[in-house]
Amino acid sequence: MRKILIVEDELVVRSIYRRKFEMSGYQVETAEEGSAALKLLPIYKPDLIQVDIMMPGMDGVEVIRQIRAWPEFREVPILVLSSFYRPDLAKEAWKAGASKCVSKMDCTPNLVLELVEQLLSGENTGTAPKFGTVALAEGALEPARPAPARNQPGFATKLTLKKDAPSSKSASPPPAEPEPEMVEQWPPPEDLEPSRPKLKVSLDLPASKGTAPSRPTFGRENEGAAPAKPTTRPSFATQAPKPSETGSAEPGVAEQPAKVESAPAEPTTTSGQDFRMEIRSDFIKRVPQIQAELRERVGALIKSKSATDQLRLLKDLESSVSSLASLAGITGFGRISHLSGALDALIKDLRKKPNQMTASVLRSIAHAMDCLNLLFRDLNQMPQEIPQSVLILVVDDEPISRRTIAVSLGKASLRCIGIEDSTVALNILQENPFDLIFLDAEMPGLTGFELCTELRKLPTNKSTPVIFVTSLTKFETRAQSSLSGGNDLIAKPFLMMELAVKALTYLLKPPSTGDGKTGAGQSDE
Amino acid sequence: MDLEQLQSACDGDAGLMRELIDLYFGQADEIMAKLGKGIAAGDVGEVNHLSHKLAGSSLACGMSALIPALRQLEHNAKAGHLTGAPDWFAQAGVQLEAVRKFMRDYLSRKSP
Repeated sequence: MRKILIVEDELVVRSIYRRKFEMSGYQVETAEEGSAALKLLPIYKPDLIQVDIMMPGMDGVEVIRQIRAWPEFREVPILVLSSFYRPDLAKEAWKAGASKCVSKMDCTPNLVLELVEQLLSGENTGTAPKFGTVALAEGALEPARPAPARNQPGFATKLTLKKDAPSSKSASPPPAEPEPEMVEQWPPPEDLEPSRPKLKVSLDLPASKGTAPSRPTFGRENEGAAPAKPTTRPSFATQAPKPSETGSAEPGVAEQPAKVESAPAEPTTTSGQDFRMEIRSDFIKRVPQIQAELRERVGALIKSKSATDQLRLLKDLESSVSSLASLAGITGFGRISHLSGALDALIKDLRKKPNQMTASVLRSIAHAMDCLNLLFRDLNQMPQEIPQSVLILVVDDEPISRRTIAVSLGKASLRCIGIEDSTVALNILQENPFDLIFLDAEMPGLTGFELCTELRKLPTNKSTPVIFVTSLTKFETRAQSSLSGGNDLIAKPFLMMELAVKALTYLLKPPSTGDGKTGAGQSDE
Repeated sequence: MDLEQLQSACDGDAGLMRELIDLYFGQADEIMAKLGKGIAAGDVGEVNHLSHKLAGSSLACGMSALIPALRQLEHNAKAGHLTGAPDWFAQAGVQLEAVRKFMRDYLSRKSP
């Protein structure tokens, strides 16, 4: 019987995977922290190790490094569960010797099981990854050799940033160890709703002057070259390309596992369906407790005045939100998982940069919590999948601001059109419905407030959420924002994840919230 | 120079940092040229808009040395006058060059 070791600090997640693997005929052992896993390793001798990347104490990356430093375990497949919003961690895990990374936000036990089977069967057919030359841990007995160039660490989904401005990566030569690439954007290009109307205004108009995109295509750039359509939902599984695909083969480095083009189909067996229903039902039962804990922790954070208290409270909140992201992901509640995953990444940023804890950030966290509460309320009444087609407009005469907003949205795999001229933007808004709009408050010609007032008269965008991005945070600005029909404000300078969370808050919001506003893909027009 | 803010704006991405810095200085030179003309012409609307715009991008990129002078220009222009504008403008220009030199040195040190 094949043996799997699960290294996961979250008890419920650990239990779910244990049961899933045992039901599928594997022998399973679990460790709730890295040090325990390392003690267990030589005794248990697993055929595959599943590691959660974000654990208290020794994190997943360090666990992988230490496993790979052990000659006996250099070739054992390691499957990593990471956050969609922390591609940096996926990259680190990859460098440390992970075989595959999957996003917790989008992976179900079925997907994980499928990947486990692929990894294990790859071993049988000689296609398992070899890690003999990869990033040995410090203190390893053998001297570390240079890591092979791995061209595709991170999630196996490609983020194609809009052509708002040249990609930062394109400005420099390809690095020896490239950034993890999101090779599939949200939404995947092939999954865009056929009914989504195309832009009715050519963006070769003056709108595209400066660094604004000359022809944003909302995920259609890859049309014709798009990969096979996933069978059920986007897969964020990661693996390296085959050396023959990248030209990066190095003597002694074995072929990498084959690319996972699509997620496995949902189970058709009764036991699989029962299992899924059961874990979803368990999650729903836990929701009141989760909600109460989150409410208490967010409330305490907002009331807190002392920086020391805020840091402590952030740590507590991070723990709750991270756990929620994992649980919601595993049980298929995609909206909750994505929003809490992004919030988790924002909280981690704040813990690193506590001086960025502004009133704007607290407001963004509070709004995200409101949205989570609405999603909890509607657990049984609305689709939980993330919207399949999202159009975001950014109107700002300042190129740095447009670029920063675009990169921030990119953190949530969201793309946007950036328009410099507010009058041109109004023309585009007349013909094209958007899901979300970011406006600079002060612009020449029509100010952001004036543009907002005008767009509220348009049938196409009368209820589209509008967020003002401004350095003006005085009360008058907030009043002007509301009076013009704006929904929210975000203060410059902002943390990139704050803006991503803000966008997700509006895009994932359930359709009827009592305020007449709608979430993306839920338009009531 | 608020390097922490600049790094935060780039999220630690060195390529994005270079891109934003190039965008910033390209834009700053253009705005400063227009701002000089606006002050000479006594165009308070133009001075208000341009100084606000450059102050915003300076804030975003951590080029904090320019901000006091630009905010003063903006404040005065918003109040409908350009008292002391040439001096504030000159001060912003000096700070812009200082920041440019600092960033040139910083980036050359960071280059492999």
